[in-house]
Amino acid sequence: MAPGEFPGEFEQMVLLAILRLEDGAHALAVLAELDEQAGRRVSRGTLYKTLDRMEAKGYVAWAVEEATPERGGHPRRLFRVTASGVELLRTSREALVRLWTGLEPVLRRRPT
Amino acid sequence: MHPPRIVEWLLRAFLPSGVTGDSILGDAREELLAYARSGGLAPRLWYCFHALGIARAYAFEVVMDGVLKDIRFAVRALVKQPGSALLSVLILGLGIGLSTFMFSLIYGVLVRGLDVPESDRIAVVERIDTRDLDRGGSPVPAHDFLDFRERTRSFEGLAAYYGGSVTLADDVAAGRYNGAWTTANTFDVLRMRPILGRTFAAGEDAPGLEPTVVLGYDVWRDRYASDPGALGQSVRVNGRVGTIIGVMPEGFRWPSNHDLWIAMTDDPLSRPRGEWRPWSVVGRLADGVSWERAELDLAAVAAQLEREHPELNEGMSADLLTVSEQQNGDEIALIFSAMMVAVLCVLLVACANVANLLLARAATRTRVAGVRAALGAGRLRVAFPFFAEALVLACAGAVVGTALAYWAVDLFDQATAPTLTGRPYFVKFVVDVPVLLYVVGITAFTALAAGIAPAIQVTRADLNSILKDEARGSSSFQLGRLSRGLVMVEVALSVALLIGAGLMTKSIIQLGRVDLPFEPEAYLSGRIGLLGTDYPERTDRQRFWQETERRVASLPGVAAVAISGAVPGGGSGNQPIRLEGQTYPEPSDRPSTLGDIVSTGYFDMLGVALIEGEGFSEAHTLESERVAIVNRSFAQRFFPEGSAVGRRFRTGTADSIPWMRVIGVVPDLQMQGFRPTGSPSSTPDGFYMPLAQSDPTFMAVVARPRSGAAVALAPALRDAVGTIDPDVPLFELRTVDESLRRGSWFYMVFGSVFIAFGLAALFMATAGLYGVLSFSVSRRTQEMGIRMALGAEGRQVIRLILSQGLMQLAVGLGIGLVMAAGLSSVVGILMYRVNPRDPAVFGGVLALVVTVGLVAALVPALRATRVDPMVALRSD
Repeated sequence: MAPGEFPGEFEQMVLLAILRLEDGAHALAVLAELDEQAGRRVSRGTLYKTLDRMEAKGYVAWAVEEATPERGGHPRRLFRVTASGVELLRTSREALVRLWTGLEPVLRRRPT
Repeated sequence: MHPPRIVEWLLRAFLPSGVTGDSILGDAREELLAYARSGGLAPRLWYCFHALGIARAYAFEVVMDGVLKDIRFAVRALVKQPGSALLSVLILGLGIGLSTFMFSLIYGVLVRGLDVPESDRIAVVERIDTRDLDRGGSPVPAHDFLDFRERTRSFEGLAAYYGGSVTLADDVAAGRYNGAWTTANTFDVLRMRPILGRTFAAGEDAPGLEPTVVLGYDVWRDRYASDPGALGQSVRVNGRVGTIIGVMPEGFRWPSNHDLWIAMTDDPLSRPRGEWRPWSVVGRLADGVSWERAELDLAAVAAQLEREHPELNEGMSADLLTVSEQQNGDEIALIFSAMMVAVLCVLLVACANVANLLLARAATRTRVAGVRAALGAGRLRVAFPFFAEALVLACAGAVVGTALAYWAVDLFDQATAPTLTGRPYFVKFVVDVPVLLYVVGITAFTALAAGIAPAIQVTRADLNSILKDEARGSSSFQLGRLSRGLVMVEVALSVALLIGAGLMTKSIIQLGRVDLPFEPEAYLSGRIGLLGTDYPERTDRQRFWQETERRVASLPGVAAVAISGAVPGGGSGNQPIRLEGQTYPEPSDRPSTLGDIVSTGYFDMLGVALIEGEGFSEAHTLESERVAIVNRSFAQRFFPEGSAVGRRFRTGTADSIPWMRVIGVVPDLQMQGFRPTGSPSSTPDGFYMPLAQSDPTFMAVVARPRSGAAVALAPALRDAVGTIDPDVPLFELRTVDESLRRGSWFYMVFGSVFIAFGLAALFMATAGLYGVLSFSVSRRTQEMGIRMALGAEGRQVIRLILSQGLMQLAVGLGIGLVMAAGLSSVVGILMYRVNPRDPAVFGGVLALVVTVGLVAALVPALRATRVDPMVALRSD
């Protein structure tokens, strides 16, 4: 991870979804997880491009699962978050927590 | 359930290759299957929607990453071999430049048209003789025009005009201008507005009114110093008092380089039908009226007139032409088409060359392409890098070519300036937006033409052999037949173009060698035309010519004067004759020769001595025996034995035409002028008749000053003719030298253009032959090394390589000679005193191409002999 680099909001969500899915993080599962847990419905194109981008940056990696007939003989990729991906999430979280510290009263305030 | 094939194929085309793309396809399949349980059309639509969404997400990347990367890679690869890249750019630049140059010319002459609003709706009306359509159109009789105007419904307006010399005079100065008398509606038909004042109002062309004048911008600037006060000024127009009412914008010189416009106050109805001068007619089609309908309308009225006035209009009809059709004869279109074909050939040669160079490069990279293809890349992706190189080269070539065209078009524009060639003012040769659009189109074409061969070769290459065997892989690449064929085509085209260029060069040299027994720059000439309405009787006309000669001769600065039909050396008319003692069963059997009419002092004035016999004198009158003087070529052609003096011949077909006795022989004075080779009147033989025994209406006055420049005589000459009759203008007043130059400019201009074409083609063919051979040598390094290692001598290796090159050269030469024979007969009309089959030119070009071809083949052959066997065996 380049020093001072922070993930985008969506990238962060994708990384978290992959982590939550543990061993079952294929693209369609990630899509479903984002929908269910975060209420984010994104197009498949967006997800694939985000995954490609994070792979290129070294935050995620994938392994090939055996091809099955219902996939037309095409393989499936299982994604996992790499060590530097976890490191990225950690820095990001710490930064956010620091920023939030002491601001809880703001959240309790109701908009008038 | 299977996804729609086309959509899946499309998705695959955009996805990255390898597991990433495959897994995405798999995901899509899986989702479709899960969703498919609901059945029906919905899952497929759903699939399409998402698949296209994914494809779109990747499309941008494919374009930017793929294409731009390929282009960037191509640039880098080309820069690495700057020699071959530079050569390619130069070749393509030359090809694109020449074709752009030619396009500018064609666009300027045939397409751009009048510079008036909606010029495509402007039509010219001409009278045609349906019994003799080859004769072309002529102006419309005034009475017919009035009927056309009244009875046709297809025109917003029909206007008539005629041109003539105009003297504008006031108390300050008098000047002679090129004027047009027009009907009052002319400017409305053209939709041209003045920059100052107004144009003619309706009714201002009524018979008997004082003339109203609209000035052209140049006259207003030069004569009136751009003074707005010129409006309303009174001015004498050819002796009649008129008023200046407006000034037209700069550059507007309709119909053809005219300086000012006068409302015509002609009254043809005062005379019987057919007894008024015909007018040129221009019209604007009414809104929504098609060209065909207007033609039909016009023809219908013409048919009515034919019925009503059969004595004048039998067989006559009317034709509708565009301004460009009217201005340009078939000849111009033919010449320009021939030249356009020639430049497109040059461009194709250029493409073939660059294709060859790219093929050579492609061959070395077949393995890369093979590996790509093996890894599953689509055809387009394998082939595109090779296209990218062609595209980069074509774009660089376009820049070079545009610069070249810009320069050449400018040069051509100056060489054919309206003042020299009489080119209409609206014909301009510039590189402007339409021409640049052409450059864009032709560049795309060039990239495609140059890139297609390498791309096809690469995708066709046999994957297995490429991957199995390194050395065989690259050399089994089928460079051979295609590129050898291209070289033959190149050689053939350049032979044809070079022969054309050679003939043109010779024509230009001949032009410089024109040998006249007098000095054309020492004489001033002006032309005079007598109208039948003003000079109805022969005696009136004879008196006018005599008076002109007498008055000019009495001018203090004039050393000698004569009157002749043609400007000396400028070309006389052609006519058939009959020799005494010969019979001619058919009129077409009569031999044709050049004839001219000259006044008594003509040969004395030119300082030409008779070879034999005597000259014309006062004794030769209408009452005495008809006489003629012939030139040396005439005497040799018709009277090869014995003297020509005393022999008789006559013109025409009627037996009532009197015989003319030859009284003298003069040297050849270039009576054929500058007519092109092959024209029936391009031979020099001709005869002269005395003015007193003839009755011409159009003649030239030629005078030689006592001292100083001939042009200095101009004002005095003009005044002298003006004092006889102020309404008879002296036009085309210039030195004889200048007249001759105007008669021959196009040999120079078009000759130079063809020479440039030929040289470009030679350069390209040389580069092509060299490129192919040197590549083939480099591909066969290993073979040559083995041959040398096994004891082959340098001579044998040279022979091996040369024989390949010479074969291509020979076939190309053969085809080229046949093409040249065809081409030279077409461009014959552009050549002066050159045989289209000139053996010296054909032989010279053959020798040149063979020499250049040999050198191009020898260099790679010699390189092959220097191959070090050890290096060769190690190389792949």
